Amino acid sequence: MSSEIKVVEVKRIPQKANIILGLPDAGLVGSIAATHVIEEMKLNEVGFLESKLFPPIVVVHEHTPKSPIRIYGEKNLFVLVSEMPISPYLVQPLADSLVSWLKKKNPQLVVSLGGISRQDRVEIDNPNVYALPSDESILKMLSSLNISIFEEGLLVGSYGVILKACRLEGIPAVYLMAESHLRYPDPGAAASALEVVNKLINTNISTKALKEKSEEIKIKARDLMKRTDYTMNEMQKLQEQEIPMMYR
Amino acid sequence: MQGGEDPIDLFTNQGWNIRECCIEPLMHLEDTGESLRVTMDLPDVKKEDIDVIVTDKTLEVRAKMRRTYKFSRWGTVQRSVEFKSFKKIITLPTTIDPNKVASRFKQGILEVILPKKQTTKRIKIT
Repeated sequence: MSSEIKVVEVKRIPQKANIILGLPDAGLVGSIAATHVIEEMKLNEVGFLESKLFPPIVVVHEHTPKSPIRIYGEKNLFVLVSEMPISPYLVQPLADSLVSWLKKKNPQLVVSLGGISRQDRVEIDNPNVYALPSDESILKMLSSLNISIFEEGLLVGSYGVILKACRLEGIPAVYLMAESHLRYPDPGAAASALEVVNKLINTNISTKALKEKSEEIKIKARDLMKRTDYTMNEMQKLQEQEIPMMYR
Repeated sequence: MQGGEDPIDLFTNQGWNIRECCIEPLMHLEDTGESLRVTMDLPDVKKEDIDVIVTDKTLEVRAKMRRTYKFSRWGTVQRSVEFKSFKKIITLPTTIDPNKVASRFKQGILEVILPKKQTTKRIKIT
């Protein structure tokens, strides 16, 4: 495992679990979806990430200082959520450490939740979700479930790097991208992503409360979205909207 | 913090104003060439509760939320605060024509199109 970032298990996370990653990205889709899963399923904290590379941020919940990146879960479902954007210099160390840890955990499936920005998002009532698989067997599963496949393009940020590393290490993984706002919190897109998660890993996560509280979530997520927007600019996230030069 | 200073004064330029119970909305401004396009995220707001006021150099948006949002322990103030509205005043990077401004509000996103004041002139080459 890369020693730069450590995954600390406070309670042992078993092998063969499904692991959801919710990092701040376009529309905060992953952060919103991951937080909702944790609240809806009343998951307890079982671990966290720590590193000298992290900015000096401590999150305080119920008078307890915590790492900004934490893992919640039980039985065969675990969720990693981050309350800080992943700066460009952290992307590769995070991917290296996470994938190294995932390899030891031999997961059933790793599901990264994110957004794919649409300039005309306000015209979309039901965001579509695109999936990028780590290997052909995941591709077959996605196709059998009629989930749209992300065929061509550029991906900027942690998720693309993590998925590529999972592919190289033979870890079954999928990156789900819901059509979303780029710069505004998008609970609607998060709900669409979770509906696909339910199909993939046979869960029954209700999105009713997420849709009902969407306006409140947008207000609460405002400051994390601002910081994430700054980080996305640093990474030149808008490159995702470019036409790639090569098609092979 | 100097002695006797009200901590609330420290929080009027951070994107929120506790005294006025308002927060700044998330906003994006882009220059599309012939106009400026401003979008703002205004969750839990009705169209009829939004005020958009323009001059040739500024855009002001005020919007009342449908309900009050209360946070029991807000940031470094660590006390209960309430927010009831959004407020944002922008100085525009270029002069616009207030008579041609258009706006729409859909799915919680306010879009304001501000055409630039035309100062171009065709020059005849002799």
